[in-house]
Amino acid sequence: MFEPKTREQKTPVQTEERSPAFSPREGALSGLRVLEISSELPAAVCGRLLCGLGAEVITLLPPGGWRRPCSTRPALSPFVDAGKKCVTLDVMSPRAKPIWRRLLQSSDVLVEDVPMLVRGASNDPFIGLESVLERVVWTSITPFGLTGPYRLFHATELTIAAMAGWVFQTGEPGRKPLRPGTLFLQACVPGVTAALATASAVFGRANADMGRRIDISCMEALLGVNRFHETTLSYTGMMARRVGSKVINTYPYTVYPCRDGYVGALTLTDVQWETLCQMIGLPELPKDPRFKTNRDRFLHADELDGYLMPWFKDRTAQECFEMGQGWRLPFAIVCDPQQILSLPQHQARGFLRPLPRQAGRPIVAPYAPFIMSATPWVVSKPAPRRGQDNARVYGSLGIAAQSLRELRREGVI
Amino acid sequence: MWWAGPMATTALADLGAEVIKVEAVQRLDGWRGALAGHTGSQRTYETSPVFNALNRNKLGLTLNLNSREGATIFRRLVTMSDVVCENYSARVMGQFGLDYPSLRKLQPDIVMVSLSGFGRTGPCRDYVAFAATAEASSGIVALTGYPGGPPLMSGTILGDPVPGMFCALATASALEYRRRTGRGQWVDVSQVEAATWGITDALLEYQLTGRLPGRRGNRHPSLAPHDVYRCKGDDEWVAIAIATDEEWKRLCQVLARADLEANSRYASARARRRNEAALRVPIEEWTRQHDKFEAARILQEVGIAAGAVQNPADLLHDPHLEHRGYFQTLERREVGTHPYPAPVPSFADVPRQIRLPAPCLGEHRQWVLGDLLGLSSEYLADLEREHTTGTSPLTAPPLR
Repeated sequence: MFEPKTREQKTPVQTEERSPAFSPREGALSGLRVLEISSELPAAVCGRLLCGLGAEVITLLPPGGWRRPCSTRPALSPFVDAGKKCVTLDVMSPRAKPIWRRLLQSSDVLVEDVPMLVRGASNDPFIGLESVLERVVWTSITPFGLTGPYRLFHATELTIAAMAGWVFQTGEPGRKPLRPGTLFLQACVPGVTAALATASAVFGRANADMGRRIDISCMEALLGVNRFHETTLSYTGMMARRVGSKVINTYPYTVYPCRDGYVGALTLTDVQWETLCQMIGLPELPKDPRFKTNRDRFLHADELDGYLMPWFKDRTAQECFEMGQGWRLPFAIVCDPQQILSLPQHQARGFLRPLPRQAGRPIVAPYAPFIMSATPWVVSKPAPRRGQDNARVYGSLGIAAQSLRELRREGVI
Repeated sequence: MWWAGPMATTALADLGAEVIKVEAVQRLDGWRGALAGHTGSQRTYETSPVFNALNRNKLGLTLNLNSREGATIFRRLVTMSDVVCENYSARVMGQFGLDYPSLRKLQPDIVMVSLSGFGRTGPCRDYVAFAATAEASSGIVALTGYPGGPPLMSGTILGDPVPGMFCALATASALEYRRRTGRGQWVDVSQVEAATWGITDALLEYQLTGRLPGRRGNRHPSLAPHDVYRCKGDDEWVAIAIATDEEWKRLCQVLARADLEANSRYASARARRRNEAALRVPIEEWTRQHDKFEAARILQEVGIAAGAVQNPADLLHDPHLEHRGYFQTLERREVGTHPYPAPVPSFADVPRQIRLPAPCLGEHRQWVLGDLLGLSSEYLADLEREHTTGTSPLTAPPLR
């Protein structure tokens, strides 16, 4: 039920005009310290986003190596760990508890993907730290969440995507279903969902209604960006199905081969449809009863393609794109990675920039996923080497060098 | 309207923000026509399952921003608000006189978030874009498909909702910055850029190897077997991912195929990947004997990552989602009672629930314009007569 909130009339805050020369280095989340325990990509992506927003992100890696060397996380470390600090700490060792406690006490946020089998076991890193954990924003990212019958299931990006409904609907009818995009995409979605929940919890810390223990299920995060097929099934009785490069009851909404590639071409409205027909020199086509409505055009898609496809095949993808956009049609070139790296739009907006690296030849990577006018994206350092920041971070907590040497000998750091 | 911008504001509404969705009786949110007309109501614009699922937890207002009265009222609302979120094309808010510089004069600490296909700067700033446009330009389409086959659109059409989530993150972060400093700002979100972030792995792989990643189906760069396999029934599949040699041995034991375990062609991940196609037959000889849930259960019990390829009917009855309260049944005018997705982040201290169904057209105009802004009922009646606000569309979006 809608219950209106009471509110006070806002008094505009007067801020001084910025000098054109003013160039703040402060990120939106500057001043925040985030501890990150990440064996898998979603937690690492969450940390990366918080880092880019200006938070100090310290990854805690086990001294002996990656907990799951077979996961995709290590390979993408140069990107997902850029800008972060790194300390080594075996958080599951009882000997690590005192230093782990002090780290938590110095932090605002904990982002972690500790395996579910560890939670509640004798090496659970969170036992005995409840009073400290109560004062941090604690975000747990697991394949299926902290509760429920699947919580202990073994999982990879593919199996989570399959269980979340991402796979059944991608692919050609009658052929095996596919996961869309890349493995990183399937990690990105829970990562950004976790970052959003974390940032919101940080913002809402003054509000007692805002919980600070956050449970992110990767399965639910993927489901959350799906097209509401379940609600649609309930309303209509219609089950979504694989239709290749189409959208049910809307056409054309597909990918057409061109002379040198592919273009995504769609018309959502009848006006756009008529415009498309004008553009390709078939102005009478909308009068054909087979193509009167979006649903008609979808049902007769193969016949319609017979009219449209030659136009696209006669032209390059760039020509189709420019001509379509010139007629205000939402066309787009189907870009592969090579094309993406040279798109003028990305160059104009500074979206792709050199990735800071410890070694290796220069490469570029996506920079900020959005542009904020007052708070720049902050990623200027390469991904850290393992334990690179042990001395600095532990030293700042008042842990003596002698103690660090002992802990290193014991394999705790 | 549509998906990207509303996705961002729904994510914020799910986190407790009070979100006022502004439509116009002259031009409704296009998604009100999506899959509408199946519930018997004459007001078909209230019967779209996708609009109603997406726009949960929001208040509904209609306001004609093209009219002087409508724009004036909107400006008053801005002075009482923290965020303005819009996903028009680049010129529109300026044409309304409601771009960031204008709004900042009204409310210096306002956070304005503008989401568009290609962003508000650059040679493509004025280009028309929808979800599929962003998906195509981002690389997702080029990287989806069967090996050797053409590119395929994702069934999920990710070019809208993924940028929507990035947009919500930027908004929450801007609010946190404002809380600390008192300063608002303008956030420019390009759907293409946000979606491209999601395929960074492919961009890095291409630069490091010189080889275009291409379309891999369900294959993994280093693990095998890693695919979906047919099960008992029509179009029923199970996803299986073998991460280690030990898991491979366990799979062979489940399949009762000691010969595969002993075969050097499959002794390592690299070897299995090279010969992965040959593994489909023996694996499916086993999976076809079981339904997908049973196959997944058996494999999970021996420590193998496996999961049923679930369809919407499966998801509606998924015991795990039910336990966690993911789908919540809500009654809404014009459509009755149906399940809707709950907010995704689960907070230990706050119940996970849908507070409000998606608003009917202009449903909360009385509260927003009358109670919040203090406009008289006579003035409201004038506004309705002039179609500055209202609850009935002058033109409804076409059904699809």
